[in-house]
Amino acid sequence: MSKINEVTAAVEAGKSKLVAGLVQEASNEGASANEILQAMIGAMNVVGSKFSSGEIFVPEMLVAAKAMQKGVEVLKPLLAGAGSVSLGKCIIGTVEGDLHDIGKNLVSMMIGSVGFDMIDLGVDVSKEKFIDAIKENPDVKLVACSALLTTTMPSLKETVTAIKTSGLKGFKIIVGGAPVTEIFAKEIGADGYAGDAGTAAMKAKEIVQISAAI
Amino acid sequence: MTTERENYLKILRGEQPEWVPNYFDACAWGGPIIYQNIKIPGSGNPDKKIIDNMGFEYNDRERYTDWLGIEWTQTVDGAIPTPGKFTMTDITKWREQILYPFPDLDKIDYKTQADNYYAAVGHERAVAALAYGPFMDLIDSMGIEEGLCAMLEEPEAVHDFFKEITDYEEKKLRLMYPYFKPDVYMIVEDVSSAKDMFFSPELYDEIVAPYHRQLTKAALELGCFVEMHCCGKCDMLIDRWIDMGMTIWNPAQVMNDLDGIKTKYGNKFILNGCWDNTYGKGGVTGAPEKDVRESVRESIDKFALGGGFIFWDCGLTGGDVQKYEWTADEARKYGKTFYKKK
Repeated sequence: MSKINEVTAAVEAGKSKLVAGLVQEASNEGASANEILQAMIGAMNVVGSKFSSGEIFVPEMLVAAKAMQKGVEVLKPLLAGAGSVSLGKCIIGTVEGDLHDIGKNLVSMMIGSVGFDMIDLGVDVSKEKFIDAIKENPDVKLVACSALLTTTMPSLKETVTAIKTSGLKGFKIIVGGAPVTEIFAKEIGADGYAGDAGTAAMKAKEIVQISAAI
Repeated sequence: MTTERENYLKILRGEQPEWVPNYFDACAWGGPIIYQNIKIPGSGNPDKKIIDNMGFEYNDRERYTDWLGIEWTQTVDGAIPTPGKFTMTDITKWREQILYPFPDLDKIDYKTQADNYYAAVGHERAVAALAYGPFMDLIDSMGIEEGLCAMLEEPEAVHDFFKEITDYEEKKLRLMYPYFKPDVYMIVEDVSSAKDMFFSPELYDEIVAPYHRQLTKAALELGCFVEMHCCGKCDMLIDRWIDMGMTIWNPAQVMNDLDGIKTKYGNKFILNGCWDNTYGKGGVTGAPEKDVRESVRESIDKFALGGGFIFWDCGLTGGDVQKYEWTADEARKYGKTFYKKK
């Protein structure tokens, strides 16, 4: 097995203690930083698909994301000189009135693991704070809003509406959370919906890449 | 005249009850206070008060620390660990990173606490003593992401933590039982989201189940019925819980195959809940009174036949107190005569 394949396998298996060493060895053997990164992103795509299909559960997904982070740490200095391979910035937060962060954190980890630079605003985030963060990051490609409670779904709607009517452009909005459905996401004007963290990562890539191609 | 407690106990014994109980009319939560949570001065909104399920008053968003040193934030939907503020970062160092040793159980005056409790609550209702499960203590201490990783990466340390917590809970149960004599021992262990378990059933068997079994065995020996509290989609665990000796599950939420469970176990495994507080016509935000009441009757019609059912709206008020007055009122009215009509 080539070193780069070993990196892929170690990320998929969540071997966080091994990945850093394997990434270094792959680099020493001549693999470029971008090749190694793409291999790890590919591994996380597989992990995300397995999670969405119920083949694996949250812990397996988490340890894979953690393993990838270890690999990225080794690659960072190499990537700095190789041009950015980031898919762009993603601003994420749980909407105002809602303190729940488990789903949001899982989604943040998975979206980050497929190549986005995450800006996590935390929980109980007002629409104004989302808008301020977008203004502070005019190159943002994706805004992800979460709500866990049925009682904070109106807050999700208000947030999406406020962002959409703010005049700010150049990014897409995806929404999710336990009570949120695809129908509701469409009703409130979101550009995308994801039912779980694995799907969120794929959806994030998909809508940003489609948007870039238009 | 049959009391709420007597009627409730009939259900727990698998007998035909006289009426369908509305959960909190029939059962109170109780047990000894081992540690008084320490409120953080100045936190929360003093103009908005919240009374929790144990009867304690808090400001909305008031923060406090508990017996493990975990910081919590109180909300209208219950307390949650304050996001981002966790006490434990490394499970292998849990003894150093949480408050340990735990409060001394031998110094608690259980008799006085029980006397005071029953003076306030009375004996008309059944009593359920609650025990937080070890998984909850893990994720509340270090956050769910790190907690779940620890279960895969440091299973021995997790077992060490779980064993200590469970031994402590068992000792607490055995010391308090002679005075409180709860009818039900409830293990509170939320291992699922709305869609699936947080981890695989196999990991549950390996890391969590031994401790649920230990607590269940102790409670059964003492004469309690054992109830599992687990929100979300967790019906894949029911056979395991029955095998341990548990007979009740709350809040039996509608994302589970409730019809299948009812058909399979009849009144031998009691469903406590069965009302859709999220998408149901009575559960959706802003549902009119007519729909709320109708949804309660539909739930009772569907699940109460033959016994083995306790109606519970499953909480999560979002501050909508009026709605939950309607559910309780309708459950009392409709449930009271349900078995007489059938």
